[in-house]
Amino acid sequence: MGSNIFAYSIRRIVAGVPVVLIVVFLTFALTYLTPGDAAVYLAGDDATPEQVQEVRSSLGLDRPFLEQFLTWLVGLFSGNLGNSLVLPQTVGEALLIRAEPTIMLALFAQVIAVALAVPLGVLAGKFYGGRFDRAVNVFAVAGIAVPPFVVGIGLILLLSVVLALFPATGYVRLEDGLLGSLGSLVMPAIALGLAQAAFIVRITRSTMKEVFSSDFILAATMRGFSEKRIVLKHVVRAGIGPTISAIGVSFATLINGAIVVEIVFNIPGLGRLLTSAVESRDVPILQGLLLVITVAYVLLNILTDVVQAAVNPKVSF
Amino acid sequence: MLLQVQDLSINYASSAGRVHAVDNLSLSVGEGEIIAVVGESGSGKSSVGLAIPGLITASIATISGSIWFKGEEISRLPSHDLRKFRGKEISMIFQNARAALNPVRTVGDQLLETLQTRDKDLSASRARARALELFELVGISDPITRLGAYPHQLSGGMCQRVMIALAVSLDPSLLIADEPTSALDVTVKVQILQLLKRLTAQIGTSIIIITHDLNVARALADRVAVMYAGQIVELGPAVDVLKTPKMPYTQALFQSLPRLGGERGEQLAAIPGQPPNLTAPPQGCRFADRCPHAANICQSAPELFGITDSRKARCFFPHDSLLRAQTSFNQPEEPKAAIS
Ligand SMILES: Nc1ncnc2c1ncn2[C@@H]1O[C@H](COP(=O)(O)OP(=O)(O)OP(=O)(O)O)[C@@H](O)[C@H]1O
Ligand code: SF4
Ligand SMILES: [Mg+2]
Repeated sequence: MGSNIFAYSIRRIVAGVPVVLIVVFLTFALTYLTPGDAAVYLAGDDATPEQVQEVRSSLGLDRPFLEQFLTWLVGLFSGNLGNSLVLPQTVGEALLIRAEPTIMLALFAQVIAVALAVPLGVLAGKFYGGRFDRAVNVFAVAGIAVPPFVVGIGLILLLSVVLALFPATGYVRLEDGLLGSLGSLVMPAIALGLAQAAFIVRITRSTMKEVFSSDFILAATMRGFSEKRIVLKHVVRAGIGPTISAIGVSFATLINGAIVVEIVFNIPGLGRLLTSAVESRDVPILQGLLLVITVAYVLLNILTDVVQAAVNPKVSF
Repeated sequence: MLLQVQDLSINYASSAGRVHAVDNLSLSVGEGEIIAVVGESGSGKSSVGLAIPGLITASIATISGSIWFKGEEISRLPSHDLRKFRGKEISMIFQNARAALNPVRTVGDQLLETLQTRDKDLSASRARARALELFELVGISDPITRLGAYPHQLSGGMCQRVMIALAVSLDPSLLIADEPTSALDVTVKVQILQLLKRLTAQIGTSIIIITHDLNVARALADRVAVMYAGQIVELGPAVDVLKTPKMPYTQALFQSLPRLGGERGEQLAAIPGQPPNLTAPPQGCRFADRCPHAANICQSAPELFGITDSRKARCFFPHDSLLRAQTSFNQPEEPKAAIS
């Protein structure tokens, strides 16, 4: 089975390559077609049209679309994503530096979300329709309705301004210590994690409710097992599949959420890089970012399916 | 008495209103006794079976009455205290065997779990040996491979056999078997019936067997209880009830002739008309609408009248039917003879 999963993963990764290329091409085309470019931004507000044109040709932005795209592709296959038009870095360097806070934030938020959503969802499913379940449902609706940045601002006001527990904004890099780094992310991770949890808990709650009322749980009860054994070894094990899918799918919203939360908390991650690159029309950066995000999506999807197959004996490769 | 059910009523909550699925039912089961419960679909057989070990919770239905097991009123116990009865004392073969097996765990895993959590001293290798023995006992060929199978990889009949192995694995005092042989072919069915008989003979297990198959009732049961619309309508020794049913419903039910070849056993007859709507059951005799003998008095509810010392029928006019004379019921001793 192990080698099966391996072969399956390889096949899925190969199948993902065209998807990545298509997405990258489309974004390339879109940035090309929208008015305004980096030359305008770099030349400044007072520049004459001639000066702008000069900057543009020095950056190679006046060359035909296909030529620009192919140059970029060739670079990609030799591991070179090009240079930023605005920042004093290559695209690769910029991405690498900015990836750490985002990955840390995303993982931290997702850990909070899963740790919160799975137990809450299982218990809500067990007491479906009861008071606890209704409370969880309110949380799920609120968590989806209230955007993370609102929660984030609320947290800043409460924990930083009023209680002075955490620094309001900024990020401590990993090389300066894991704890400090996590500490700097507590509030943004909670803000983001709550929204993620709200999404996951809805799925968990409804599938667990089904499992709790199924015949095989009645049969397990009839064998005299403890409550704990029934919940952990029978209910959760049988009903965790949709939750795993939900966790996988929720990474998509996580990336969106991270962008906003990074702005609120002033975290120098990929989200902030994305907004500034859009502002300055830094096309190479945008390309690199979208490449990274698309690849991350594809890999997460594959990972979700593999984990899914591991917990569900009916799925085979 | 091992088990005494007194005035059990079960009202399910449903969108169409309260379903009066079981009405004031009383039944007792002696040590080592086998009782067959027969009746049409929807008559409340499974509901009674599920209610005895407390598997119908207050969120699904309102239950009244009392259930006594080995002198203890188990219907008063909280579910935590019921645990020690479940599995070891009272065990159950569920009607839908496949649905009663955990789909994401192998059947062997589920059987070993049952053996080992209920007997902490059982070593892994002894548990495995016992599991293999149980699989052989219920007629599972190639038991070593089958231990590693998931329910979806097994046929319906195979799931049923696994279910039976699980139910008898802890040598229960009372086994509630809800249609245990419905998906099995004749040879395996005979084997299972013999297994159940042996359980009673060797360790004194009492059995409540719920079945549509009169041959199963005849081969196994000491007594038969016939259910109609949530009530017991006839109760007595299997020999007598099957041979000379007294209540018109039972007579109609047993009217079917053995099928040619008898492959699937003798099934209960289809009776013209519909059983009453259990959200608003009739005040009088519940069978009146379909009864050829109904009279004015049947507008009031008949009790379960005693006819002889051991026989009871819920009818104002219990009588022998001429039909029985035409359908010869032989009384074989062995299940094998009953089915062939
Ligand atoms: N969970 C439930 N909620 C509502 N009504 C129910 C529920 N379970 C059973 N019923 C109803 O109670 C009545 C008795 O059902 P039960 O399953 O006990 O019948 P049965 O005699 O076992 O039938 P069968 O031979 O088809 O298994 C039926 O009318 C059924 O629709
Ligand atoms: S009481 Fe009346 S209606 Fe009911 S079974 Fe007997 S004869 Fe028929
Ligand atoms: Mg039933």
